[in-house]
Amino acid sequence: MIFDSASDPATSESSSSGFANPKPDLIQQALREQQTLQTPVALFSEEYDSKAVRDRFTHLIPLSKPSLGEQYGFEVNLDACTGCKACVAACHSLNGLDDDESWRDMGLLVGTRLQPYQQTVTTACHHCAEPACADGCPVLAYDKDPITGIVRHLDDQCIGCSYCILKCPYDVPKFNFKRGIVRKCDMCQSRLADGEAPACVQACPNEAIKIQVVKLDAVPDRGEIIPGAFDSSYTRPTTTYLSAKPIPPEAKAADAGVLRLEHAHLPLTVMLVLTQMSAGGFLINALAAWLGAVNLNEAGFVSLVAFVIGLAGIALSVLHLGQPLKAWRAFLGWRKSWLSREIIAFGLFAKLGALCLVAWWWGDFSLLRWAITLAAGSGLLAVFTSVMVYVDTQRPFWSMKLTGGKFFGTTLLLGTAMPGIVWAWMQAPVAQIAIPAALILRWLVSLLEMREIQRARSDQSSPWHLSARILTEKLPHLLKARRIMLAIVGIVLPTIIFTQFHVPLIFSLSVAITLASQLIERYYFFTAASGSKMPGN
Amino acid sequence: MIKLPALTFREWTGPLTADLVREPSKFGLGQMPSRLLPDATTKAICGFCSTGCGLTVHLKEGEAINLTPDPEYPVNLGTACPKGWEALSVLDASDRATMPLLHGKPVDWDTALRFFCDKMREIQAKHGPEAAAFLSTGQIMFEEMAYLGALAKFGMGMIHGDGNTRQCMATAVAAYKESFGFDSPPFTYEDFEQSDVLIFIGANPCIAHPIMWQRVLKNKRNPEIIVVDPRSTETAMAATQHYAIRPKSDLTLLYGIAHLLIRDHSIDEAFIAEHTNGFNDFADFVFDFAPERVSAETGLSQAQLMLFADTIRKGTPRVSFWWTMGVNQGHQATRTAQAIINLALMTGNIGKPGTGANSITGQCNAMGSRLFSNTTNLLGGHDFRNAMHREKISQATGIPVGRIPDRPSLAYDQIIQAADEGQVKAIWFVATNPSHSWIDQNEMNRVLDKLDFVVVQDMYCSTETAKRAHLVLPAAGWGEKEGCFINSERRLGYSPKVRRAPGQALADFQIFKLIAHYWGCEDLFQEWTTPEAVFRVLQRCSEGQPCEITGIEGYEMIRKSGGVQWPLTKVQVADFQSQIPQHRRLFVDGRFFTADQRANFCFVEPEAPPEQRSDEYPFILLTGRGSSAQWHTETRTGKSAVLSKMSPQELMLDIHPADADKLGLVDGAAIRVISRRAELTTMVRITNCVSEGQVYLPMHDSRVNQLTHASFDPHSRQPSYKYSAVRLIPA
Repeated sequence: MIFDSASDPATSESSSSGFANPKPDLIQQALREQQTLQTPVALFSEEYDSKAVRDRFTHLIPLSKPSLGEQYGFEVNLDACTGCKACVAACHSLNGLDDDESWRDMGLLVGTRLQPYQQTVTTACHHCAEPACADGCPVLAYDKDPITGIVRHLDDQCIGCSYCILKCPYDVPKFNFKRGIVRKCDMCQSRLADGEAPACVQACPNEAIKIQVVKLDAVPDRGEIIPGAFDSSYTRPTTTYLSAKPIPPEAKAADAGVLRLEHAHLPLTVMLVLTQMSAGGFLINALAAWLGAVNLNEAGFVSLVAFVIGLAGIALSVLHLGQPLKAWRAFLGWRKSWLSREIIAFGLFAKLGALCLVAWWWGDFSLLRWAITLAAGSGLLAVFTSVMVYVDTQRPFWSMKLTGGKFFGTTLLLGTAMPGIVWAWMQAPVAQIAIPAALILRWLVSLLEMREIQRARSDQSSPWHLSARILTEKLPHLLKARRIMLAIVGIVLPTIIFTQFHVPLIFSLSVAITLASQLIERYYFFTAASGSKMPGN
Repeated sequence: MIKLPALTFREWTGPLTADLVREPSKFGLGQMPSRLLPDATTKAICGFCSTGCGLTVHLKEGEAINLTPDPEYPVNLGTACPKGWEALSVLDASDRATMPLLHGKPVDWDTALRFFCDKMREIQAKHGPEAAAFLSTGQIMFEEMAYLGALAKFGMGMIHGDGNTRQCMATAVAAYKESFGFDSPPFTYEDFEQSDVLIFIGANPCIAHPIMWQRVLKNKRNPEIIVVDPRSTETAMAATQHYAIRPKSDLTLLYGIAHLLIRDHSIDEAFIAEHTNGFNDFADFVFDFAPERVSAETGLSQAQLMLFADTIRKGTPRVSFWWTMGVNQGHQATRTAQAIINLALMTGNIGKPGTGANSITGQCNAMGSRLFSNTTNLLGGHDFRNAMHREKISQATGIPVGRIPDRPSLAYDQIIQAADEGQVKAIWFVATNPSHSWIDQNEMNRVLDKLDFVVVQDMYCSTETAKRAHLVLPAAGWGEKEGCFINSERRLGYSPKVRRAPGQALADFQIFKLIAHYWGCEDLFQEWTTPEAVFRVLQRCSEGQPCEITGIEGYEMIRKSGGVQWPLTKVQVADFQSQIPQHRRLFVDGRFFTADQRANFCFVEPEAPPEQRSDEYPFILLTGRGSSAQWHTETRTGKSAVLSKMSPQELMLDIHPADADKLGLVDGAAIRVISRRAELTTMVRITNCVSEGQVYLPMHDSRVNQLTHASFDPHSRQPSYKYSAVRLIPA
C-alpha cells in the first residue's frame, strides 16, 4: 500500500547537491517505508472476534422496552463516578461528532467552607417527561418518542433559531455553527433499539451510567435532581442521580459563582427594539388620530416610517437563523411555542401595517385611522408574544415583570419618540406634545430599570442577583454608557430644545441616542440573562 | 448546505440527519457512525500513561479512522480514559513537524542529517566525547530507545544520556534496586482487586490513572482504601481513610507506622528472618519514631496513627501499598519509597495476591526506558562499570566491547549543570519538552540558550524546547510507527503503525537508522533493521537478568496473548506449556534479586525540605496533575478539541478559605504567586481541599515550573516538584 509516486513526498524533494552516493536513496526509502502501512491487518481482523458490544453491557440497559406510562432515563451512580470523563470522550468518538462536540459533560459539586466535599457529576440530556425544548420549537424539530420517551432532535427540520437552547434549563442543546442547526443527545436510540448500550454507558470504567425504565408518574415534578440543577417542575427531567453518601444540602456547583456572558443574539437585539418602536409608533399614531391631533399626511407619514422600521426589524430576525430557507415552517409549533406565535403575530402586524399605507394612498382618513388602529393592536399583541417568548424560558432575568416592563417600556418610549421626530420635521403641532412626553418616558423607563438593577445587585436572594452581578461586574461600561446617554438625552438636549434651537434636528439626535441606549439595554438583556445549567467546573 | 427545503411539513431524514446515522459494524464493535464504519480492526497499546491500555483501532483501507478500548485486553478490560479515546485526533494537529528545520527554516533530510553529524563531530572533536549528550523520553517505543542509546553511546561515542523518566520514575528505580536487587515492580493489576487494604501514598489514581482506579472499584472484598496526601484529592474523597499529612512529612509518617507495627508485634517475623537483611537496625532506628513525635511532625493525631497501623495489621496478608509522584518527586524520595517497601517486607505483604510495595509508573514506556534506554543502565538493566556485563552485551549485540563506555551517564540535572559549566555543549532532545517541564524552568532555559547545539526530535515543531532548537527533526508519533511499550505491571504490549505520518516526518527508529548511516557507524547496527529485529537483540541482552524476555517468540505472540509480563524465560514457557498466565507477580517464593536473594531494609533520618517557608514566602506550593484529560506539558493533549474542552479553561490556584479570608480574596479573584525564582498571576479557587498554609497549582501550565524550587533526591537525582515556598499578593 505504497503511496503513488505523485504524492510521494520523497520524490518532490529537491536534490540540490546532485548526489551520486546512495544517501538520498536511503532517505527516500525511509520516507517510503514511513508512508507504508504494512500492518498485517487482515490477519488481525480475522483473528479478532471479541465479545460483541451487545453482550457486554446487558446489565446496564433495560431488558425490555418501556410499557405505557414509562420511558427510558439515565441513572448515574455518583459513588462510582470519579470524573475521568471517558463518557464525554466516548460520546464524541462513538457518535462521530464534530471537533469539540460532545453530548455529555462533566461538572463538579463542591462543599462549603466547613465541610470539604467534592463530587463529579456527569450529565447529558435528561430526556424530560415535559421537554421544554420541544415545547418551544417553532418548527416541531423535536420528537418525543412515544415508546422510549427519548427526546430526539430532527436535524433536517431544525431552522437553527436557538430557542430550544434558551428554553432548556440544563443547557443541553448546543448550536453547531458549521451546520447552522442545533444538535443534542439522542440517548443513542439506535443502539438501544439494537440492544446495545449508549456510548457513555459503554465507556464508563466504573459502570456509573445506566439506562433504566422510569415510571412517568414517578418522575419528580418538584425539587432538583442534583444541587444546583433547575427546579424539576419546569420540565420533569428523567435522570436519576444516586449516592449512598448523602450530598450535603449546601453543596454547590464549582462554577456557581462564575459570571458568564451569554450569546448576544445581535439580530434579535435589533429586531426587538425596532419592532417595538414600530408597534409603539402605530399605537401613538392611532391615539393621535382618534384624538384628532393629526391630519391624513401626518398620520400617513408616521405609518410609513413605522412600517419600514417594523419590516426592517422582522427582516433582521431572519439573519439570526442558521437555516433561513426552512423558516416558512415556523408556524407549525403554534400550539405550544411562543416563538411560533410571535412569528405569526408579526406576520399579521406587517400585513396590517401595509394596509395603513394602502389606506393612506387611498386618501381616506377614517379608513387610515382604522387601519392604524388595527396595526397598533396587532403590534401590541406581537410585542406581548415577544415578551412571552422570553418569559416562557423561566429565566429569572426574563421574568414577566422585567421583560414586560422593558419591552412595553421601549414600545411606549420609542413609539412616542419616533412619531415625534416625523411630526417635528413636518412642523405638526402635535409634536409639541409628543416631544415632552417622550422625554418624560425616557426618564421614567430608565430610572425604573436602574432601581431594579440596584435592588437585585444588593439583594443576594433576588432571583436575578447573578444577572445583576454580571451587569455591574462584567458589563459596567454598558451601564455607564447608558447613564451618560440618559444625562445627555434627559438634561442637555431638552435644555437646547427649550431654547427652540432647531428642534427637529436636536430631537432627532436625542431619539437616536435613546435608540442606541435601548439597543445596549437589549444587548445585555441577552448577554446577562444567565441561564441555568447543570453543575460545571 | 444551502439547498431548497423539502415541501413537507416535517423532514425526518435528510443530509443533516444522515451525518449522525449509526449502523451496525463488524468486529464486535456494535453500531458506529456510518462514515466511520471500519473494514478491519487491529490492536494497539495506548501511548500516554503507564497503565498501558489496549485499544482496538478501527481501520478503513488500512488507515486508522477511530478507536475503542479493547475489551479483551487484561489491563483495561474494555475501557479507556479520555486521552486514550483521543489518541488519534492529536495526530492531525496543524503544528506537526513535517520537515526538518535548521535555524527555523525547512531543509531536506540530507541537509539536516549532514548538519547534525558535522556539528556533533565538531563539538566532540573540540571539547571531547562528553561535550555531546542526549536526553530522551518514556514516550517512544523501547526498541527505539535502545537504538538511540546504542547509537549515541556505542556509535557516536557519547558518554552522557538520560531520559525524562528521571522526572517520574528514577526514585522507584533507585529504591527497588537497593531494596530488591533489581528495578522490579512486583505487582500485577489483579492485586488491586485482591487486596483487603489498599494504601495510596502520594497518588491520585482517580485523575492520574483512571483505569487503574477502575480495578480498585472492581475489588469485591470491600477493601479499606487509605490515601496519604496533603490534599483532599478525588481519590482521597473516594477513600475510606484519608490522612492529610503536612507536605513532605511522609517519611516520618511511614517510620511512625513501622514503629507501631513493631511495637504491637504486627510483623511477619518468619518472613523477615528468612528473606530480608537489616531489619534489626531498622527496628532500632524507628524506635525513635514514637506516636508523639510522629503526630507532632505530620499533623495527624495519635489515634489516626493507631488506626492506620491497625488497618495494616488487620488487612495482612492482603495489604498492598501504591505510590507515585507524591513520593517519587521528593527531596528524600528514594528513602521514602523504601520506607513503603519496608512496611511491605516487615509485614510479609509481598509476593502474595493483593500485596506488594508497588510503584505506579508514569509514562507509557517508562519501564522500557528504565531497562533498555542504555542511559543509566547498560542495555537490559546491566551496569556499565561491570566488565562482565560489557562483555555480555558486546556478545549479545555484536558491538565491539571497546565501544561500550565503562561508566554510566550523568543524571539529567547533572548534564544540565555540566552544560551550565561549559562541559556539555550539545544536547539532543528526543520526545520531551524540558523547557516546560523541568524544575525551575527559567534556569533550564538559560542553560539551553548557552548551548552550541540544541537538537529537538519531536512530533510537534511548536514545543517550548523546539522553539529554542538549532535543528528540529520531525518525528512520527504514536500510531505512525510500530514497537513495544512496557507498562507499570511489567507488561510488554505491541503498538502498530496505523497512520501515515505528515509530510516528511519519520519514525524515531528511521531517524536513528539514518543517523547511523550518516555518522558512518551503520556497520555496528547491521542487525538493527526493524523494531522487531532490535527486539530480538534486546531479548539476547536480557538473558539471565530478572527482566529476561527470551521466552517471547516475537511481536506476534505479544499481540495475540494480551501482552506479556516480564520475566518470561524459555524455561518458564516450557513450564507453562501452552497457557502463560495473564497475571503474574514477582517474589512469590520470597527470593529477591540481590546477591543473597534477601531484600534490604534501607532508611535515613528525615530532613526538612531544602526550601523552607519564611515570613517572606509563607505558603507551600504543591503541584500535580490537573485533570484526566491533560498529559504533562499538553504537547499532545492540547491538540484535541474535546480534551481541551474537558480541561480547566484557566489556571487556578487552590487556596484554603481561611487563607483567602486573610488575604481578602473572593473566588475567582486574581492573585500573584511569587517564588524566589519567578512569579505568575492567576485566579484563585477557594477550597478546603488544600490545608491552611498550602496552595496548589496543576503542572500543565507552562508558567508553573518557573516557580518550583530545584532540589533533588540524592540517590535517584529525581527533582522534587512538590514543595516550594511562595508568597501571595492579590493582583
